[in-house]
Amino acid sequence: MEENASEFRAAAERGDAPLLPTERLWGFWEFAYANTALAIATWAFLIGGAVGLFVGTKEGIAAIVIGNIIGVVVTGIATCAPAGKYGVEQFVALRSQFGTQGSRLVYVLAVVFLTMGWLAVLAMMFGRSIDGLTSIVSNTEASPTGIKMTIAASGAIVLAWFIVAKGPTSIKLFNMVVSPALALLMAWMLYLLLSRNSFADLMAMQALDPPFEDKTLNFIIAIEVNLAAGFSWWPYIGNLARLTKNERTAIWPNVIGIFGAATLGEIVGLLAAVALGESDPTVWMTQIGGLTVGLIALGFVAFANITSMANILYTSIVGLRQIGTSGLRTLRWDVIVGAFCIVPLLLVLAYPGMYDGFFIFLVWTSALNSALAGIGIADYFFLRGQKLDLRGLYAAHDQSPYRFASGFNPAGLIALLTGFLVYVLIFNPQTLESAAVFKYLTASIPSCLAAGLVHYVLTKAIAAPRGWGAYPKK
Amino acid sequence: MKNFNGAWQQEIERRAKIYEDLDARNAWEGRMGAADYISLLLLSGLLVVGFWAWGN
Repeated sequence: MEENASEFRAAAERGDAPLLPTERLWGFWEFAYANTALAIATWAFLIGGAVGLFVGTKEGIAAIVIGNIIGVVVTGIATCAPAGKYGVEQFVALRSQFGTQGSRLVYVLAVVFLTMGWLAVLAMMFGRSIDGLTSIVSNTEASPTGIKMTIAASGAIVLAWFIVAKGPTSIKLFNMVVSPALALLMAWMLYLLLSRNSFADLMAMQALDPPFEDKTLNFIIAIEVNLAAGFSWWPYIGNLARLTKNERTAIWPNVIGIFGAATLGEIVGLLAAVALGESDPTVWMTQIGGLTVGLIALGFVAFANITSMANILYTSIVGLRQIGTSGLRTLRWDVIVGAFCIVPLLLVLAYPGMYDGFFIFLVWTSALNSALAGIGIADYFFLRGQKLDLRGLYAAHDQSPYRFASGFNPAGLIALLTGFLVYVLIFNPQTLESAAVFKYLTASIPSCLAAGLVHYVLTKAIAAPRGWGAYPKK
Repeated sequence: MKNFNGAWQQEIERRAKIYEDLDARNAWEGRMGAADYISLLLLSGLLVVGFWAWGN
């Protein structure tokens, strides 16, 4: 009997059942720390550097704060409120919005593609760090897209696969070292920058490569990049929030952890980029403090990248097994992890330029993530009155009230498509071309609102009258 | 399929009942209330307006 209870609890921790309030581990500060550890990552330097391309320091800091607070708060409410109340796995809860099969489709679109892209970008960052390190040691010219970078980046993916194939214990060990050390590295960088430039000089620095003469347009693009960064937490924070004791501890710590830590890291990346005239962290780190500092910083960033890669790879594979078919679940863990790494490896080999335009990839993801956040809020708060049918969420497909039409909720899927289309009609991440409305509303915010509104209207018009999705009658 | 065997379904049922009971007694601890959401909105609004005015 006791053996059964511990087995059930372990299964609940894996996401197979809702965690009970008494089984949840994290209070406010524990979740804030876990959030901070997730947000303090090397991609913050990349995003900060990208912001420096569009705007100078003051506008950049403003864009980082504005974009991140909106993105993190909206995403936090959409994903962490149901997870904090019911302790349900985020993609299980998603069945109530997209159907038992539709949630799988959304997982592939929003999590698998996003993670594969980030794995490739971080692997290239690792490769460039190693290339930079060897060029410092041998006093030769760095070659950011050369063969050394490609070999090192491919090695990073293989190493991430090896770590994740070993299981979560090895990842925890890396995290315990890397997160506090990255915070120290950021503080050290900030000190170096402030000791070499006056505060006034730093604040007056200009953009590295503004794409348009219109300063307001450049500023809004910088905000859009940061909205995308804020919304890009959508696939990850709900599943952390289910380990918190209640709704308040699931939502408020995001403001300290995710928003605070990511903002700090991005500001350091921005300041370094504009002060040193180079947006790529693997280049400015070699310039910021001379040979020794460059060696330590680059070596550490290479190491930290492996940790970030292992984190997102592990989280995605856990979710993939949760939403996957029984055939997928019978595959060996290391085989699934290896298969997942093939696309990032191909991206490293065939598309090394992706690193330099990584913000384009980041902004594309917001076309989906912002719409998903809007649908989540419309469904959970305005259509369901914050109530989910737990039996229905965990029932077999043919018995679940969340099967909608053959497992797909047309209202949710049409809303997602609408949000995506609204986004790309207002702002094209590839060319940076935008409609006039972009300067006043950005693209993520209208996409989020349009998706939520369409989901609400279609649910009232199509899903609820047919009895699909167990929506409350009144 | 473990997920659909009897013991597992009973466990899901037990967990669902605990949450139903919390709901019936309105005994949710740490529930986000209107004050929480308004505070979040105000905090976000202040940061947006303040940094917009400072940075732009």
